[in-house]
Amino acid sequence: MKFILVTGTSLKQAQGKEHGKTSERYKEAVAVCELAEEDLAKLGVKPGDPVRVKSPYGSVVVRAAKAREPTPGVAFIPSGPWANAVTSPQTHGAGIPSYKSLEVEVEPAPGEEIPDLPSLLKQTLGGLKEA
Amino acid sequence: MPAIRGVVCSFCGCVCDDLEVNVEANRIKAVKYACAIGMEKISKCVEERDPRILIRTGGQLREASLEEALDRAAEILANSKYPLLYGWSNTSCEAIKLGVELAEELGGVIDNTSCVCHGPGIEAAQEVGIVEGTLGQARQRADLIVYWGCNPLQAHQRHLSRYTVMSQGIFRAGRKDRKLVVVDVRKTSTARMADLFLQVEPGMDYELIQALRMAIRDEEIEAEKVAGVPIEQVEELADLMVNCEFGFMFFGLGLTQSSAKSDNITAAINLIQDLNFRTKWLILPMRGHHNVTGANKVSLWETGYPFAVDFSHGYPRYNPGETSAVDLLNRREVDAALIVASDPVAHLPAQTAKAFTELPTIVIDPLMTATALLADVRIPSAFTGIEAEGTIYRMDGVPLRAKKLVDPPENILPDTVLLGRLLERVRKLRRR
Ligand code: SF4
Repeated sequence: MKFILVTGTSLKQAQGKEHGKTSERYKEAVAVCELAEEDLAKLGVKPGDPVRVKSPYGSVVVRAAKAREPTPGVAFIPSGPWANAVTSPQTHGAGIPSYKSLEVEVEPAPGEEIPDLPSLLKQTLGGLKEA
Repeated sequence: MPAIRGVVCSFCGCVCDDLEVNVEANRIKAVKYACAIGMEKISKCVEERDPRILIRTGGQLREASLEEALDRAAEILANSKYPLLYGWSNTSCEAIKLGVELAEELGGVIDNTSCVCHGPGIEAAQEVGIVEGTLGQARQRADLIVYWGCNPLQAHQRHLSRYTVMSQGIFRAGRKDRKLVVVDVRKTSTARMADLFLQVEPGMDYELIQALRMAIRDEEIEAEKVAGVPIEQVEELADLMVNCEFGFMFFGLGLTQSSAKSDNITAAINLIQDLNFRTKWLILPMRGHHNVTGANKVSLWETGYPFAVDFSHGYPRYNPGETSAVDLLNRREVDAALIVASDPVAHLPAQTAKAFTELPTIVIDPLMTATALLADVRIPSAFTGIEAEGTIYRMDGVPLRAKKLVDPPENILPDTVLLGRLLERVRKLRRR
């Protein structure tokens, strides 16, 4: 299903960040895709289920959650490396990439694991630095 | 021990300066008056830090001494032709000043995180000017507050209670004397408190602002909806804006990061300029990190430019889109990176962050970050505003002095000391 991706700050993301990016709390807080209840139903996923989010720039598995601030058609992922696995690097000469309003595809990803930070970086960046 | 009063919070751009902290035996025991985010940071971050100094050898990060790490870092920078010095939003102005010196010495680029948050707002202000004010003015005088593309209840928690709708000002007694308007793509928690909420279609803010400008000039809009918002609501907001005594608009990343970028802010500033022919209005960006405003100020007074400053010609040049971090990384133009007090690997698009897998990278940051996992040198530093003092600029450009509350552990030094030593070493290597 197609959604408009919005990334941004959330309270838990801000708190989790201060525990360090490798902490479990940070992952819990930001490896999440918040969707409106009706969209969860349409996708056939429950809060907590893994979903795959895809864009022309990449794809990532995160946990689905019921949006506290629901807007049908919008997928919200808190700012962070999971969201940025799919955001656009294009700045169109403006210096700033478009973190908001990118079209993405969200689909159920039963049985798939939500990567922790080192595995995520391996996936999205094509390997950590060697030698 | 008596409480330390007037403590400056070192998390968000509100830079609340009224906190009280109890310290016993060099440990933070209690924090008063901070919001949940500030509380969490001040009370926990020191205890949970990863204190290891790391250097990459044979592909693996291994522990090293501070001297070794600084030597390696200096070597990387001195050998580079066009390094990027990036970050700076979570450290003191004194440290940022040293960063500018280092960039000049190296003929590199110094850029701060505003290039991916409020940079477009700065560019807009350079084009059309801006009618800014201080948070004190909002608190004492504003009777209409507009939050556009920001959600302070989640990101700047005390903004409403200290400076806007819920604050007790000299001329406004809290919520009942003020109106709150929120414009956002989502019905956020702040939106739920609003007297009027306009839900704009993602990426359509520019159209909505221009429609508001028309409505304010009493021009007829020949459409039922603009940017997903019914015309009646546009007119209702225009009426509120024209009829208030003192309006204040705060805009967030919803406006700077969506597709029209700086044009959104130019339009918003134009709207405020129009409104000032009718009544009094001010506008301010909701700056995120505690000293990102300071990063712009220091860069501005040292080089003439607020961010994305390139020294490769021997004098400062500024051209966002060319000399800005994301573009330089996308084009793989830089050949080394020094990252201070920020985490680009977590916060830049992965396609951009990929560059760090190819670049010799040094990270100076109190926390273990995603960028540090890719770094060649990782030096943990003292937390500014907790273990080190320094000057911090609040989002409205008011400078405040952050205090040192506790001593950092041995071997963990403030950014100012680390950068001073690095600069010294780099100079020595380059003069050889
Ligand atoms: S609002 Fe910001 S500055 Fe104030 S206490 Fe909270 S995090 Fe700190």
